[in-house]
Amino acid sequence: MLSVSDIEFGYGAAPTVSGISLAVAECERVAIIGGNGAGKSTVLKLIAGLEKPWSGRISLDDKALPQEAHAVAMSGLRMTPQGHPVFNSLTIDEHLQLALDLRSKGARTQIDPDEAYRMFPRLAERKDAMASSLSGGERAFLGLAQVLVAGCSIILLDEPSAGLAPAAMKELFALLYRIGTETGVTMLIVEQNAAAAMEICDRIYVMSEGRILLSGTPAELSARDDVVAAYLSF
Amino acid sequence: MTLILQWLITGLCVGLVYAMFSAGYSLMFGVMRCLNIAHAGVFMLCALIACKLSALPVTGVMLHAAIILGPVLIGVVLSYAVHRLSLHYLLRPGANTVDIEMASFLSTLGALFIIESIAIEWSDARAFNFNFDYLKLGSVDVAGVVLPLKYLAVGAAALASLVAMDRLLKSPLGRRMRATSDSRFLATVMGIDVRRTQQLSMVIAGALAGLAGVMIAYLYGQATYGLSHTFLLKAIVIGIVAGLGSVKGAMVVAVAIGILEAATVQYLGSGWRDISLFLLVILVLAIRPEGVFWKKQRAAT
Repeated sequence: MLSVSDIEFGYGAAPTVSGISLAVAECERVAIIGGNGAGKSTVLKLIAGLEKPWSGRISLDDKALPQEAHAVAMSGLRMTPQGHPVFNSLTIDEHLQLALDLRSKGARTQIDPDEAYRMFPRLAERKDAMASSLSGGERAFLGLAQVLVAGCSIILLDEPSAGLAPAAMKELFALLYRIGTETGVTMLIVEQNAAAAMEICDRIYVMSEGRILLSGTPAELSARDDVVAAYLSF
Repeated sequence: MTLILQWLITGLCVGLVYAMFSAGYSLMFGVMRCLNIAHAGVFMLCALIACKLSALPVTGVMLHAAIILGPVLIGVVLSYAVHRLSLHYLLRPGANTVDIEMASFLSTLGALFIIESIAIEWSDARAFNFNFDYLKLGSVDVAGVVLPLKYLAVGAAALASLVAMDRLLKSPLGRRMRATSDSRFLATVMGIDVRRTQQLSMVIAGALAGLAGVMIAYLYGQATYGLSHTFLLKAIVIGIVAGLGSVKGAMVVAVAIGILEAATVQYLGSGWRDISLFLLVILVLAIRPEGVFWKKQRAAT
């Protein structure tokens, strides 16, 4: 479904990421793991259209993505940014109304606000609260609810565990797994917490210094001692 | 007592017009994160045009339509032109916020100079009179308080515009504008066309400025090119006191400043008007420099 082939990009003169090729099939949950500065988030930004690759091709269902980032989002490739930002002067309900206003046509997964409130009961309790008053975990839920209501073919999650307390992180990852299996939504997750990502994903790409080193299923990767020692032992 | 009511009510009505002007300023600042200095020029040119239109040799509904819709239309078109010429290229996606702030200040200042030069050339630097045959309103005597009806009419119309603006901010379009104000990055990621939203905020602010121009021309009975400076000053004062970017805050402070001005003119003389405004600015900067209605931003920009 999503295919990235041989992209190269950098913020300065030297490339930050290069030779990146990856593919995500429908209903699959794929994670890109790697240490700080490996270029994981940059890859996600390139897919979301927030940066333009120097070379290479990104396509969704064999069609090239639109030029502008907002159009990429409207085409059903939706990102939940790092740190779970929300709109501070909008209430929870207004977030979902905004998502309704910005619905993608022909997105594979799309739910109604009522369904979202059933999925995230903590948000339903505080419908009219300002989003700025939410905790980190609640912000993460709101971001997910918004993406699901707006409709998506694939969700791009940028470091979902970052900034969350361990309990909130556990809850979020359990929920991601449940949403994935229940709605069949495709996910591409960029994550530093390799163990958490391995638990809920079907396939893993390991990145280091701007390149993809290897890929495989969680079982394949954890069977290799060298990989575990270098990337998974934290 | 009657005297107090008199300046209080006229001040309130003028303040409501200031609110229309400043609400547009705040809306634009919120959505674009840049101060559109040329907004005062748009307003001033609309006031001049309203004066010219009031002398049209037509009567009745046609004249009302021309005087009100003409400047609103010009305000919209001019505001769009300012966006296209002096902001569009600066506000490209990914541009550095600090760069935008300084560059947009200069480029809109340039646009203001152009608009002012056009106004000076056109009016020969003289005042245009508003033709009062358009709408003659007397005054009413309520329990000894003499209230000029034209102030009440303008106040009511301004209040209606502000209510409409408030409704607009709660509509789907308004939600997009508020979301863009909060975080342009997150708005883009959600699928909002940020540039389009910015253009719309300029167009809405332009319409409000056009209408405010008509109202001021009608209240003052005349308009000159110098209105742009007077109102730029007021907009800056209101922006500092309210805290930039808060549309509702700007409305409240604008009304308060209208009343403060009326009181100052009544008791201290008109020479004290600007002095009172700047004393207020110094006071606010000393006590709460971020502005009365400023809210801490926590979202990522």
